[in-house]
Amino acid sequence: MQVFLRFRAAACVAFLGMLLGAIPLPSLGATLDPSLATASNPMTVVLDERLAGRGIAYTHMTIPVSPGAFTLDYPEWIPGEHGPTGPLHDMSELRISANGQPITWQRDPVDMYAFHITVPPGVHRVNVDFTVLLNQQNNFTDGQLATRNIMVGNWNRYILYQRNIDNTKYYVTASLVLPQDWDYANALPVRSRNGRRVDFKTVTLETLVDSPTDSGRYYRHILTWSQGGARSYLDLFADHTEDFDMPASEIAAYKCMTPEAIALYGGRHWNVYHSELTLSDLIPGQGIEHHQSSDDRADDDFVTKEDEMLAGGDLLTHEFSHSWNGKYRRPFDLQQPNFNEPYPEHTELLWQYEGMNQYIGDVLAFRCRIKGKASDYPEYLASTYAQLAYEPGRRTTPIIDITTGAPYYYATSGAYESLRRSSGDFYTEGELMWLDADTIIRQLTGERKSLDDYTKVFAGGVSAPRVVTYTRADLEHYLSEVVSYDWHAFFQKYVYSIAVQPPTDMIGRAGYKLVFTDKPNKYDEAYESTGKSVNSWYDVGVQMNDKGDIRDVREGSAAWNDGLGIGMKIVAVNGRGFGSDVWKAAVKATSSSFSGVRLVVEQDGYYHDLTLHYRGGAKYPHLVRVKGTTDMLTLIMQRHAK
Amino acid sequence: MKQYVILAAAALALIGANRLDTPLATSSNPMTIVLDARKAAVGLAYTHMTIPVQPGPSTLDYPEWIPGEHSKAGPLNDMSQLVVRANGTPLAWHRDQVDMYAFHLDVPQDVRTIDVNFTVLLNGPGEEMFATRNVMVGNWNRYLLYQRNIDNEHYYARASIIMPDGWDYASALPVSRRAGNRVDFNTVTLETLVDSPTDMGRYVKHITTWTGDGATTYLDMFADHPEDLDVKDSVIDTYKRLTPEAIAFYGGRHWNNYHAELTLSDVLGSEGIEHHESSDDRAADDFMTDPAWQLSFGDLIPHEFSHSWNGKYRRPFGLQQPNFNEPYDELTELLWQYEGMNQYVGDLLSFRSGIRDPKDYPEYLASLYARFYYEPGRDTTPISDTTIGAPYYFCCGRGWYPTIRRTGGDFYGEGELMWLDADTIIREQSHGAKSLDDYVKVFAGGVSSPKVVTYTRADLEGYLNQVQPYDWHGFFQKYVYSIAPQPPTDEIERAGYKLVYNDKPNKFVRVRGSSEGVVSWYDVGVNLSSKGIAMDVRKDSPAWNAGLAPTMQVIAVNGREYKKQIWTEAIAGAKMTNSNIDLLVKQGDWYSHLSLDYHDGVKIPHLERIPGTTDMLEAIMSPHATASPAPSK
Repeated sequence: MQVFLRFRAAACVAFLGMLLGAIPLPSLGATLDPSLATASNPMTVVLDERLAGRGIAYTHMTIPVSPGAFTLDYPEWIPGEHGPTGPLHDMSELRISANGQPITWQRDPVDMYAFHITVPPGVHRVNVDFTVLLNQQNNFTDGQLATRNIMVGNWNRYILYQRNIDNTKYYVTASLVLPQDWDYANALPVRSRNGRRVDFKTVTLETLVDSPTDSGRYYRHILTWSQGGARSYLDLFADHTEDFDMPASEIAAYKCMTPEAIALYGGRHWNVYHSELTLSDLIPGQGIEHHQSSDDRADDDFVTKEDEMLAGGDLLTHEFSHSWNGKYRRPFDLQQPNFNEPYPEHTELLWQYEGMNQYIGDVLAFRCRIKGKASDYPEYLASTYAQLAYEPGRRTTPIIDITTGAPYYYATSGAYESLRRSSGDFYTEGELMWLDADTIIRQLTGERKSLDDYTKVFAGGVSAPRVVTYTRADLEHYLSEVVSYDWHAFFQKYVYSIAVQPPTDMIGRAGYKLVFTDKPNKYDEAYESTGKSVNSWYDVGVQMNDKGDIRDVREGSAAWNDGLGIGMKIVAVNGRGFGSDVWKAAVKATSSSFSGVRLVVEQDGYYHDLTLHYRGGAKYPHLVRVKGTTDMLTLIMQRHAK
Repeated sequence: MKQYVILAAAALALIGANRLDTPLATSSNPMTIVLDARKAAVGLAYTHMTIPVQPGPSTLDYPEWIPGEHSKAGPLNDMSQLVVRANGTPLAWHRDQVDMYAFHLDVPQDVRTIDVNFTVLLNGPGEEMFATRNVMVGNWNRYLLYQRNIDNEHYYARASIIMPDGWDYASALPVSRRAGNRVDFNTVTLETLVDSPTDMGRYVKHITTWTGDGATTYLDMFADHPEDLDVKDSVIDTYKRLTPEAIAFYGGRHWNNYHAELTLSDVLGSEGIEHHESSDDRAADDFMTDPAWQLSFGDLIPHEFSHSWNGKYRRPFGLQQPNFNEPYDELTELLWQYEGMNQYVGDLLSFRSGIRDPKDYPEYLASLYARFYYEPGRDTTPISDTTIGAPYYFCCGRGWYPTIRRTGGDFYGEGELMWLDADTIIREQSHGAKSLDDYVKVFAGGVSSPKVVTYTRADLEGYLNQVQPYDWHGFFQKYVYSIAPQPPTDEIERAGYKLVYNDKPNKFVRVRGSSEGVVSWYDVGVNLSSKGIAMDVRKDSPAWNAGLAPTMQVIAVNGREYKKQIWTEAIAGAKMTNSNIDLLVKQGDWYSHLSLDYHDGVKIPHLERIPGTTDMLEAIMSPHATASPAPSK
């Protein structure tokens, strides 16, 4: 254990040493440069969104500089994205000038995000203009960002800034120019608004990048909570106005979100909070957390269709919870002075940042009945547990590799995700682990304490936005304050070692047991309906889309052993054309037939017959109550706020 | 400005010289790799390695910078199920906190070799595919870990493959033994192994395209469908002329045996990656049987073959690194020679060898020139930014408005214009006595086994001055290192041609793979797919001014349902009238009308001969090799 940690530290230092040699630039925290953009002499940004509907935005900046060699950075490590995801490929038509004279820029030969210029004598401010291409395909965090009616505006995309400064001491005055008739939402304080132009007050660079600014033609602002001067809002932007029409019960559910979160954490670290939600099938689903807002992107019918809420109803609660867990409290090595080299984020502790947050986001969503009733949680838990228990990659890859490797796992896609594992695993397995911790605390204290006490030690109190960092030892200490237990060994087992089984004991401890029946799991059905997929993972061992294209095959399953693989398409099942219903009926019938399932499979233009030697019938996961025990899950998921 | 480049390069060179570790995998104690490809058809491959180590903290790297890909393209996301063992006991590994390609181990006392096994995921839905039911592209960098911070020319590996039943393979690796499905190769350096892609397949055709002086070239074709291997003799003959043309051009060779490994598969898609003694070429099913492919893409194999001289043998100093991982980033600034000149030479060899008809080159050049002339991004972004930024331009060159951003393709295509310009300058200044053919002989002439000789920009300018004194530094400064509002242009007239636009078709100006798609780039300013979807819109063009944008779909033109012919007739018809062209356009699920104010008719670029001048293009593109294919010594 300690050998492991010492080794890690040594390796890390050695690596940074090499990095320093490779990049002839000023480096670590000790040598940050003085910020030239001060509160009284800030850099300025005007984001012109008027061509957003055509996939283009323009930025016009002035940046304080000093004469001589000078370097400007385009943000690379974007907070909340946990990777070097700054969308460099969307930045184009860069022009730099001073007093109307063009200044030649040159990209660094190693760090593609750095632009070098030579500032003429006597010049202390340069003009920087560039074009941002809003609609890249093929990229994980930035698919389409604008439609005819909506634009997602993340400030990191629209700025360059002085290299190697502390972004909490670097100041910016930002403005927005909207298309005709559009409105916007964000957490930035407004200085003035004049028609389509909004001028914001001067803030730090950190706050600016922390304040996404959504805008759109069709919008709805809902005040969800207020107390004293503090307020929370739900700001909706849709491609179609009918997508705003959510039932009153759902608005009530979202109004429950703030008081429940404040009750859970025992305070707040924001003054005004905006959940900015786009409703568009054209903008890929996403949720990115900020101190006083969240950048949430969902389908057209996200707030109007029940399956969408079952499948993804924790979107807003998850991002909201991050205001406490992630933004206020942050892993010590995820917190960096700015967004660029040589300050890469270290993502090891995402098992707290994202793992616990997955649990809390769900707790809030169930407590507020956004994602289902409290009594639905066992079904949801069965779905999550089974997915992880039946993931072959867990036999070789511990959760710690996925959090440490998050900058690349987030960007992965492709075949056999169950062998490689995915960034989603430290979210969902995190939920199992933190539920396990919750039930351990409840059991050891006879229900006098729970994870709700831990979250108050971790992130309680009221303050304006700020960052307080933590280490793994801090977390174990906070937990021990709540109840004495070997928390170090707990995380060692489930995070830092290969865990052949995910955390499991909480199911029995909560008064349940896992069973597989031929009745579909309600949440897995919602995933199928919203994701247009067919899931036969626990019986035959295959996942497909609704056209029969194979998406994954479980190692060692009947599907695997009989030769199904990625790249194949199931065309016919027992002689009938493939369809979700036909497939499921055939799998179910295997419990009473001895002939297996006959398939016609197409691959690369070749058709062949294949028989699945499977006789177990359909299997779907559920939790059932163990008689005579306390139902902890219902207790946890009940409404807690007064 | 150039200072930055020099500083960074110097810092890297310093590290390389001083800090490399002693390789533990020697020629007598190499690392071993068995690539088990038997499940290739379901998209899985397994690698079983033994790696020499020493006790204590040890780090293994997965290759990140892949030679020829010019970026951090190592497919980390395809690597899974990593298991490390020492004497049969599992050994915990952990990934570096910053460098995702590095895996740290603590090797127990007395352990000198570890077993490393992992799974490589060959295919992802919507991703680049590496295997089909019948073909697998095998790049060794995907199948190995190796000791961190060594010189890959002094680190040895012994590789084997196990193929599916009935499959064959091609590779430039020397074979020690073949038994059934298993092939054991001789021990080679890590550099040579990663430089030796090994394609495999069920339907295979090996053709010897040239022999001479004990050297041989092969064309190894792997198809998804056996009929795609039925290539006409006349086509094969053009590929047989490629080697003598290349040897005549460069005045020698730096390979002993050369395999052009070509997959013919729509599933695997198009790709070409160069190696010293082979190339990894991927093309469509009917690439060798449909003349349209040879016309549009016939430089695939010549381009990669030419890289054996330009890119592998001669290499920019900043691209040659001791190994494939941190902290040895490739510096890609000089890709304007590595890829830019190679684009010209690959095309030139395809025309000289007859893969494409030399008479077609002027039309080809017209299409190339017009494309760069009408690229809005050139007003803000010099070619040097696209080469220096290649590691990101290559990875992220897709998406909207590539002509505003520019792309990694630009230093290829514009490179061809520049090197043709240089060729015509040499020919004109020397009154026809010299040409670029003389430059390449200074640059890469002679005969040797594979080796690397690096160069700087100053070296290249020196070689050119040896051939023909001229302000070559100013030349590259103008076209590479500065914003050049126009691409190199003078070569057209110098070669005896002028550029014209008219409504006649140019067979190189077309939407690839789409008979109903339209290139209306030079008139209205948009390229449309067969369904009328705008793929790109030219900034400040009539289409741009009308409000057309990528992904908008043209549903109807002047009230008629979109078809290529309807579109073209509407543009031609508007020439006679003052009324605008009415477009019904769909964006998302919103329909609207756009009014296209354009009255100048269809414009397609062509080159026309200037009477009474010398036709340099014909002189350049006609066959040069003598009847005897053997290289002169």
